[in-house]
Amino acid sequence: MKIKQEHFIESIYSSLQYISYYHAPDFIKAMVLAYEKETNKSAKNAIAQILINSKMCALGKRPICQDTGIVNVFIEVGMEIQWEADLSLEEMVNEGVRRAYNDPENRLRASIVSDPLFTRKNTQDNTPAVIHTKLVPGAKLDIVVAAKGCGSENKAKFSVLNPGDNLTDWVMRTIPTMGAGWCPPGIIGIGVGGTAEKAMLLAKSSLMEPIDINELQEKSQHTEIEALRIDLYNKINELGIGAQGLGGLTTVLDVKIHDYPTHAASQPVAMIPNCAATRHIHFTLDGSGVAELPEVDIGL
Amino acid sequence: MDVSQYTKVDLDSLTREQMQDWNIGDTLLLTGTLITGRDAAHKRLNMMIESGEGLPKGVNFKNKFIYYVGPVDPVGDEVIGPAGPTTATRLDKFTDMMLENTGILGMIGKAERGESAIKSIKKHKASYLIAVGGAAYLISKSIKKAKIVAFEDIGMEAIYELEVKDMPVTVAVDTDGHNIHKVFDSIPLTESN
Repeated sequence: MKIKQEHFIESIYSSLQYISYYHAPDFIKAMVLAYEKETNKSAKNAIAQILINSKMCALGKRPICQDTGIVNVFIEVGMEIQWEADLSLEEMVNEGVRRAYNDPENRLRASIVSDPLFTRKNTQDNTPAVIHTKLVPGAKLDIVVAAKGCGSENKAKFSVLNPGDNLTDWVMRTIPTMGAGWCPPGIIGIGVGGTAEKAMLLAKSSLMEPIDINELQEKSQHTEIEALRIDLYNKINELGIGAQGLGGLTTVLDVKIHDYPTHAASQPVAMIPNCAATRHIHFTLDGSGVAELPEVDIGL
Repeated sequence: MDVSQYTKVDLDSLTREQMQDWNIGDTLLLTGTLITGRDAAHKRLNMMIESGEGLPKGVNFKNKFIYYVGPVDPVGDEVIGPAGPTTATRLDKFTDMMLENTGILGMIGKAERGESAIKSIKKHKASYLIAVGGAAYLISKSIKKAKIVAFEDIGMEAIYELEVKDMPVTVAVDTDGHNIHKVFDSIPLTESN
């Protein structure tokens, strides 16, 4: 079946609107656990406000955060796909972004500026998105749409470690330098390997996975990466940074790691935090229509 | 959110003397007038002050708090869209300029302040308050009036005058320079933060 341009644009639009006001259930569950555990009064109050805010947004269909993000899209394009479209893939994504951010029912904030070095002029419709595509076997499109807040994006870190250096040491040294502007509690995405730009991309793509550290901890056996994730999760939380940097038990809700082969001389490492406004959604298009987005349980 | 622990503050009659009773961790409900401003507005204000042009007409910072925010535009019958705090640390380099030249009492944002900003806050007997980053829609419900008073051309970065009622904040740096983000004290924060 052919993928129609209008279905594609409509799907980008509706997914951006959806994630602007609905937190994913995995995030809500992890935040509720963090709230129940928290003993620091200020941090507990901050988590409570974030949870109340979340419910108000789901009911009012208005954005979780005033920073409605820079749009990140990961697209896996099946190599058998045929298109019924006259715009390029990028143009279709940006048309979806334009519609979503200027929707009169739920206007989102236009935060993107062109000419970043000089005039920094607002583009008025939050375009362009940052788009990553990959060609894969098959006849469907696999799409992840995210709206990344820049309080957290600003705290991205990168380094090239020596092959024998220890990732945990670098992470533990680096996390405190990120301060509280990334709005903890959130998720830390780590990319290891490849080249400089590949490590950053791995870190970002790792943030697109659901929070599952609690399920992981209950498993009796772990892979080396899983064990490392749990170890970092515990160590980072022991730093006591807490919600909004106010001190407290929960700084991270999960730690994600993606890796890739790298040069024998090198160990590129990247780390990107995601804030309380964690907004991403995954859907597929096979030509049969627009994206179907999950029903929301307001009771959560 | 236990509001019984909050102290009500009337921003329109607030004085520096009253602010001296605030301690870090105190929770306040603010009512009255706030002025907004973030990165681009601060850069412009700095240029105007340095060039001798002075502050823009129609903006009265005197004895007001500046709120670091870039709100979402309103829809339907809203006064303003979601309007949570942005990272104050980015505005550290403008803090002394603002306290020195505009007569503000302090600022409202999120996250930790750097050493130089805290020193300036202490010197001016000012305060830094924090709202919860990521609670933007909840905070916007305490905003009762909003109008753009300067720099309309920079969109969400324009300077707004807001009327708030019972806006929840926490004292993060008090007039003596005590700082709630103690957890970062032993850690060398990078300048870019």
